[in-house]
Amino acid sequence: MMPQRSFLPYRQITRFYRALFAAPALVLLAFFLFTLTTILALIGPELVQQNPYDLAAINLLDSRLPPGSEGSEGALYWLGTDGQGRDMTSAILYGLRTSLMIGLIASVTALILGTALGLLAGYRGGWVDALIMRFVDLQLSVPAILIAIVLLAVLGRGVGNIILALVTVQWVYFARTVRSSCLVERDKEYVQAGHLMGFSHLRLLLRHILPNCLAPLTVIMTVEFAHAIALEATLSFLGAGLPITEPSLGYLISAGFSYLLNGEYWISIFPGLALLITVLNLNVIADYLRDTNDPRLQR
Amino acid sequence: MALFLLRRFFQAVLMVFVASVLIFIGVYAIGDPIALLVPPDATTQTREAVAQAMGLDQPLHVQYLTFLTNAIQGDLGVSFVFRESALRVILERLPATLELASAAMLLACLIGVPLGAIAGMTPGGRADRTLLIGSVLGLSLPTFWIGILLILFFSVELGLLPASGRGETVTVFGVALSFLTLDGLRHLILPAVSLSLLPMAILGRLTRSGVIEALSLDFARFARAQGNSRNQIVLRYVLRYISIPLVTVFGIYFGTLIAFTVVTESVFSWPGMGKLIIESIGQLDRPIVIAYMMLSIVLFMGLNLIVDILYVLLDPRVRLK
Repeated sequence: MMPQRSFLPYRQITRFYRALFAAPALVLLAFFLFTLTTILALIGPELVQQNPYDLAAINLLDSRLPPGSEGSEGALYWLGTDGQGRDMTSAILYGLRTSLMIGLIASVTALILGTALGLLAGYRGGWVDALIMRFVDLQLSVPAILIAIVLLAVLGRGVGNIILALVTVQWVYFARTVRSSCLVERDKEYVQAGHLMGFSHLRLLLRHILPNCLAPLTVIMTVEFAHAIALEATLSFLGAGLPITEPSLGYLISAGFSYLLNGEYWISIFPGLALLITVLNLNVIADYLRDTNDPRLQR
Repeated sequence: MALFLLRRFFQAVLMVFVASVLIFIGVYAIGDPIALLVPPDATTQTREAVAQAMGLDQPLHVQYLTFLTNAIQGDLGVSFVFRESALRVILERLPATLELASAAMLLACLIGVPLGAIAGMTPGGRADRTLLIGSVLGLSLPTFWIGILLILFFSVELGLLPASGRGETVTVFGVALSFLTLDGLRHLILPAVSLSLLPMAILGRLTRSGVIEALSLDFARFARAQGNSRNQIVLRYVLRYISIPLVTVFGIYFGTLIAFTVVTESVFSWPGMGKLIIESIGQLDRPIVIAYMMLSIVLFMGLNLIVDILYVLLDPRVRLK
């Protein structure tokens, strides 16, 4: 009897958590802050005083109030208001939700696509490998931001299009990592044993090889999640990303930029801080995971 | 070695060719260029006439061949907005972009490499921890937001440095340069600093890990046994040893910097080709977009080729193979 193996890599997951709680204070802080940001993004919009995109809820008389001032109807604006009298706290929480959601969907899709193609390339070898990797090389020789900008220029703005653009630039990082891990694992004895036991290729790949590629994948996933959020913000800042109806942090920063020269700093500085905290925490976590999992993994 | 370089060169040409096919399919096949050229209420006859005049009624591969033949002759189309050769419009703005990117790269090397070396000499020490935290910040700070912060502090609050434009330029061999005048230099500082943080963080980390690794190797121990001080070892031997990965990263990040000038130039209204491409996308000026992409790809392939050549020059082991 074969011992029943669960599909979920419990061992890796427990190792991950054990490593997490043995982490230095800075990393724990980053993890705590990241959890906090996620919770804020999830429930924050339900807690705030106004829906910043409901025109009836915003008051033009309250526009461009500095942080901490009181509005005409007695509402307190902790982080001030923007040019349309929107409460910045509410706008940031809504923007954070959009940014995190798009970053997560894009990087998870890229993870799935990249892992599938990377496994295929590493396992099959031959012309399949050559074709996929040549394409990866070609794409890596052009900076991600350029590819994304041109894609969005062709496709137009929109949530779906920006996710497509992010996936297009990010799958290569996953594919490259998984392929190199897969190449190492492919010829190991446990895989040969699996072959002899008559396991199908798919089963070997998913249940035996993939779990052994997870350590580098977690690192790349964390890095690319941060990268996706930052890239989306940059594209939205440039006006190539999300439409005005779906404002992310990048759009908020760009909208506040025009007020900056009058000294009205809060409209673009606070959304930027929210963005920085999100990306920074992810990068600190990724750095730590890289150091504990595999010191050879370089950025 | 000549054979190696020749092979590399042909690979680069092949890559440019493949990229041109992808760009062509992307820009011409997905979008509808006629929609941009004729008013929306035009009759079908007008549309067909325009399509015929531009060769858009031909099958795609014929269109591509025309595009390729023209591209090889340096004709990448005529800008809809400027009404002149798209390539010329971009080339006019190339020096400003290259100046900005070079200034940023110079800053990144001059600050990142020494800091990384100092940090790597005492792993776990105060300098090392400062570098690690600083570099995570450098990697996480979005380029455009750094630019906004710099403008806020140095232009709005302190009023020290200008926030936009290139300032006074001097023309050298027909190329306008900013860094030769005091005014131009003052305009260059903020955008160059904001652009330099990312490569600075990466070069710093790479130097640090390289120095740590190299100091544990035999040659560093022998040098120590000979009575050299740690500083001498790092300056004389270690930096030379780690120059190979540094050069690679330098090449890759110079390309990335040129791409990121798109962001910095938009923030600081720096009149380079990055600002041009964002404006052209907004104005649906397709020939400029295509010309910019083609030029960038040739530029990146050229950079990769230069890195390969430097590799051969720096590492005798590659030369022997």
